[in-house]
Amino acid sequence: MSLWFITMMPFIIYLLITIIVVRFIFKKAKHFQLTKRPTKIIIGIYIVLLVASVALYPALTSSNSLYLTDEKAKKQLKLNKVFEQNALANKLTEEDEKYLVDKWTYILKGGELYLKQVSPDEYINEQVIVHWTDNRKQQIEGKVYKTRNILSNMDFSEKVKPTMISWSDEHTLNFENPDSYTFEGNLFTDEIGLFPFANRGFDPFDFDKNIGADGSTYVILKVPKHINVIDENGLRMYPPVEY
Amino acid sequence: MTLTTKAIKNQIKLKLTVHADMLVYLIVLQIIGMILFAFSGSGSMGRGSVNFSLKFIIYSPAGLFMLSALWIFYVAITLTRKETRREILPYIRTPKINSITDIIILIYMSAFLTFTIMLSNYLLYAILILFTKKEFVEGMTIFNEPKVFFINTVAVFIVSMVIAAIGYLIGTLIQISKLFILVFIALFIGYNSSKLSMFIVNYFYEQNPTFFPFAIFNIVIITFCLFIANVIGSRMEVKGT
Repeated sequence: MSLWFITMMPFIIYLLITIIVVRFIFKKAKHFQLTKRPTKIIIGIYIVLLVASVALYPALTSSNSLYLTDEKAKKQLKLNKVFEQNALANKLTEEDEKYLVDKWTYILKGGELYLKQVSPDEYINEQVIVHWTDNRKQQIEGKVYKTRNILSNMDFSEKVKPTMISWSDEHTLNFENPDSYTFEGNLFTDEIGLFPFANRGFDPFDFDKNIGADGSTYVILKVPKHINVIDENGLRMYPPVEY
Repeated sequence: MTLTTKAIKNQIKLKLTVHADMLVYLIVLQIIGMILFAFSGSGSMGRGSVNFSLKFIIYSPAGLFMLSALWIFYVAITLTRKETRREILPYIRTPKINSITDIIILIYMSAFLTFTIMLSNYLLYAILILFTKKEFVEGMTIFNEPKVFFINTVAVFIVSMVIAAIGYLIGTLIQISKLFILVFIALFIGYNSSKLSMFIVNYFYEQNPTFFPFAIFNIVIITFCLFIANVIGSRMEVKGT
């Protein structure tokens, strides 16, 4: 079956249904012989409905519970960046603590801490930040944070789960992607794809044009200086070096 | 007011009354379209990442436009039918006035089509928000991007006028001989598989996606089709008298 046929199939089905319904309505309407007055009334009512729906639009848009204004989304984007800078500099504030998801302490065996990605071929939206301590014991302190996920002015933070973290072999910290979350949304636009010159090319997936903050999971570890951190999968994040 | 202007004005009034039912046909078509597009939208897009995937159903006037384009094509053909002309024959003064009023009726119908298509999307939106739990992401609307709305409106009007003009020309030629139906089907298939259609798509949509070349090209087509149709139409009426 050709691609053209597959693309046009829903349209053809729709057209057939429309033809059948329109033919049926007007076959029945012939028996009534409408005068021009009802015709004008029908047209008038339809125009009033259309104009009223446009006037109502601004009042109805605010009902989207996930929606953030440009200002709020930009602010959140900035807060995500500030969090990352603070986390790298080990200067987290009380404000940053609202991103805290989990915290624990773990007694490590041996002198090496392994960071391991369970499925190394997959992309993992997760960062490990290591801060050294003077502690002589084997104790590792961990705090897990997740910054907000905003895309096209919509806040999905509550829906996207943080990276799954677990210990094994008493010296390996494992990282695994959580179950994938699928958002099924609706996009309302005046743009007609047939006219590329008339469109701004609005794309909710365009991360450059739309206000979005792709949140990450941050694992901040406090590790005694004598422990060697081995990170074969490149999970660790280092503060920028100043020359 | 000259006699010709008065005649044109009266004939437009008459034709609008005769063809007012056509507008109700369009409204019925759009309402059925809205009901069906309410479930599926007029398109969709999606993107997935590792732990986060998005799917969007697009609600734009595109679907209704394609359907309404068929309506304007049908209206244009109906205007040229012998039965329609006979119905208003006692009021027609000259073939020239008849042609001018036909063109004005097509402009009027295209304007009505454009107006209703662009706003029907908002009616569908209001219905979905009020009666379903659907949540929407706001794209380009009349409130945040009035320019996009305006250019799309003008583009819809121009394209519907092109379809109307082609329909008018086809309708006129079919009045000469029914064999033209076969000729047009062959031309349609030939055009779609020809290099000309590829050139047009490539030139106006990929290389020069700007408004003015598109508008000028389509206005030339409209003028050409209506001019040829009027020349043929006036000769037919002279023959008939």
